[in-house]
Amino acid sequence: MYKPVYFSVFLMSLLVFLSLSLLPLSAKEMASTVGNGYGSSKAENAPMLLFVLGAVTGVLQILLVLIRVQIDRSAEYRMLRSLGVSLGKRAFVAGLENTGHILIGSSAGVFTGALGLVIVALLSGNMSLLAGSSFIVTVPLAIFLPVATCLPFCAVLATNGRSR
Amino acid sequence: MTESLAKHIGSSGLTCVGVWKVFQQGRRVIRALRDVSLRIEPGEIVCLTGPSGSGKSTLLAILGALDKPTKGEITAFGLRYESLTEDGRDQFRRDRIGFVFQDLRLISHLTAVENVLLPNLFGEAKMPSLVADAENALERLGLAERFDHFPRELSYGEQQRVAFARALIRKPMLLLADEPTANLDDPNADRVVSILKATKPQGVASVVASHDPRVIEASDRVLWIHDGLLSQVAPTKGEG
Repeated sequence: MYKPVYFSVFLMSLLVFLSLSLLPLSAKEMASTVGNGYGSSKAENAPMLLFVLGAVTGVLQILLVLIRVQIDRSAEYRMLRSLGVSLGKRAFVAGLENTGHILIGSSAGVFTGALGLVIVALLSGNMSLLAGSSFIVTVPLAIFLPVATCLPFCAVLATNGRSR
Repeated sequence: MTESLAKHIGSSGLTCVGVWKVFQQGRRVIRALRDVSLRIEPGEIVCLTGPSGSGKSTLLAILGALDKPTKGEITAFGLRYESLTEDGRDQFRRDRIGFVFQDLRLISHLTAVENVLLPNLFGEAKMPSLVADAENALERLGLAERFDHFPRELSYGEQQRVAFARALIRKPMLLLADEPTANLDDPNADRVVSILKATKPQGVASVVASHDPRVIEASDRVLWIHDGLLSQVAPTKGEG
């Protein structure tokens, strides 16, 4: 059921990572294409604008997929309600679960992006590809992965207070 | 019979007085329940029958404190639903009501045992005892070999019994079942009827929405509902 969420988060984070990492390069390329004329400084900002628009669209797309999944799971939530599970606990469990899925998907996307970038840089011999903002995202990645892995366990512990 | 259960039996059952449920659908007003009054005694099996869309599921949801009536009063086991806060209603459902839904609502990625222990998961009990309780509940319903099976690995009849085990694990005082024998073959439908009958000596009041003659036969009373009106009460056995 969560495969579409994983897939959309993976794609979105991959694209965001790549466009962020290659931003300085694409800005430079854009500026050199335009030349030294009046519009060159504006042209440098164009990739950033595209990046922001892409990121916003991606987040909206993920939200839509998540909403669809929650609608599909509404019978489960109604069942939990019939078992007397309070709204707070239902929201807590669903929130933790969804955050976990998003973190796992985005970690996989960023990791794949970083790996792809390293391979392209090594193959092309152009190490300046790695000099962009990739490291900014790689650091949170190191935090994301363990957190994402721990979250499902945290959910079980939080709801029951102890593991099986 | 547990002590807490015995305390309530005899002193109270479920009483529903002048219950109305009105939905507004655009400009259309739907009166799902109209002035429904009934009383259900502990240990009684009541069959709720009537055509599709007549208000059976709405009445079950209201009796189970899942939905609020537009008008009217419901008292169950000494508690007035109206006086309960949202948390109180959750607590009431957790402690006193067992639901068996028509679509079962088993969680597909949990095993039979995990599905059954779910109602207790949010309480204070420790996991080993929760698992033992769930296994006992499944064993009582003849599913001893199916503890670690996922719903997709069980037949529909077995899934139905898992749903009953989940509904009964907290020893509810009121069992609400929506078409529990629909889509079941004869042996499995008979099993469900046996489960319902087995809850009687424990003082569990059961309300079962069903058209199945076997369920009607096993019931103490049959209530006929049509267009939200509880228009006919037919005793199937000698009452009293």
